[in-house]
Amino acid sequence: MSGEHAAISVVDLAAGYTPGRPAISGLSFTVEAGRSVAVLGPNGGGKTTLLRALLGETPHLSGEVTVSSGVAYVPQTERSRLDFPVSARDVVLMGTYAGVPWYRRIGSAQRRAADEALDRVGLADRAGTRFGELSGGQRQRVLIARALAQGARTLLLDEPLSGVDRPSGERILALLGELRDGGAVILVSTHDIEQARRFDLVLCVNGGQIAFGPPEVLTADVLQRTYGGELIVLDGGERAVVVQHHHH
Amino acid sequence: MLETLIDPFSQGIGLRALIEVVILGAACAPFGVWIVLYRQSFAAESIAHSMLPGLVIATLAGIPLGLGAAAGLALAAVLISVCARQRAVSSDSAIAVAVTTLFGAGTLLALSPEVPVRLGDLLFGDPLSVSTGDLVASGALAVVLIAALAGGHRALTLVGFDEQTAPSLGASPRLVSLALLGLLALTTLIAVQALGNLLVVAVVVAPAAAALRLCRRLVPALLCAAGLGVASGMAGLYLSFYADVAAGASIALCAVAAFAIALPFGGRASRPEPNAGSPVEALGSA
Repeated sequence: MSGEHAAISVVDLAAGYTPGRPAISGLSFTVEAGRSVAVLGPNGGGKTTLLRALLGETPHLSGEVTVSSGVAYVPQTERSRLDFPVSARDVVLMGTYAGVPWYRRIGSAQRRAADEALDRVGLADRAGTRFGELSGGQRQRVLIARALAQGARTLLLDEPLSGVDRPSGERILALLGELRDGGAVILVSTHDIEQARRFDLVLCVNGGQIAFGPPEVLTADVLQRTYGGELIVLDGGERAVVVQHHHH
Repeated sequence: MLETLIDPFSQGIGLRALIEVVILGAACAPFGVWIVLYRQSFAAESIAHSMLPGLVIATLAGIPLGLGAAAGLALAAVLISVCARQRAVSSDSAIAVAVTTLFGAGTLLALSPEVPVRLGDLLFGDPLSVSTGDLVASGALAVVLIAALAGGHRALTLVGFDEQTAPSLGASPRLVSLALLGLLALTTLIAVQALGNLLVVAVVVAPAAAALRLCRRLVPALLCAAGLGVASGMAGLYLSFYADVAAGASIALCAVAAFAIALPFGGRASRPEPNAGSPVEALGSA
């Protein structure tokens, strides 16, 4: 992998919200276009901080971060207000807002882009449905469509499969696969080891960078270091169970 | 029939009151939609109430009410931030304590014999006593509010829908919240003179809350709120004229009645089902 044509290039990154106390540090990796990456780590391990750093939204950052143009963030669906009076198409249209000056109206070009994006995620028939009335999986696909309407070629997704049932999860993974095959970079944060194995590359993060490479890097030792006390290895390393501590 | 409709507004006083409530209803109620969506109704209530001592002192000192109200607001802001800094006190408790203190102080002042106006006028307002100057102020407020809502529509939508993701889509949550609070203070400052300290919140919040139950999309909700705001203002004036009751209170009652009528229409989506979180989050086989 050469850093020259990388879609994402990170060199010795440290980032966080309090000066002098980075939530993550010592991260170095490159991702080329058309690759999918799982960022694996425990809750509070710095996955979301990394995504925010790639967006340039962490207040304190050192090292080098280069993300080729057109990056979009896909949040967890629980973060959005489900009682907000907007349809699925309204939400996708939000992706076009930044490209239209405030004194201009949202026009037919934007509406067309939104409809195309909804069609790509297989929700053209739900365009008029209120966002809060869609299922968790459908809402996640609408938010992916919003990222596509932004014209993004690099998608950063925060736990896109949490709170989504298995068939919907499979559908989202298939969609992400299609987008990657189309040349997009897909970077997904997850705490699910089984999910992480289905991506081209895995980045293990827990405060710092534990490992980076194809799924084969997920050895018992790497998982142990990623999850610390939260990991229980079963069957002599054949199976691993993550026990999450719930923070209140 | 036609005479019944026209009579209340046939004289200068009634006509001015009509213009005032139409202007305020059309501008304040759509603004209220954002106040309700941003869950700032409590802040609206607090801002209005904390103005009272400022209003009373202004009447005592013979300076314009607006000036006194602005000073009262500044004092409230300082008091709330001081209270909120006490770690043992939650921010809503801090606001409640600060506002109640100011409201009590205002009432005490207003009951002193030197006050030229009755406490009732400050608390409940009187649309029938608006001057031409008040009308001009309300008109200017309406222009500012409608321009801000139109120009800021997308930013308000982005931040209201998902504050955390809004920056990556081109809107600043801090700027939007600040603008919303500033507009809220300005609205209260101007509307309080016609509608009174206790009733201004009803006119901003009630038609908006009703519209959000009736409409499923943003723009229809904003237009519906404007319609309900104007309608409840006019209905209140009729009620006041024919039942011979206070105009400000009648308007507030009509606005709240609109909400009561809209309540059974469940426009807003029900709460999402909570995710059943299992302590065992991931199972992997090597």
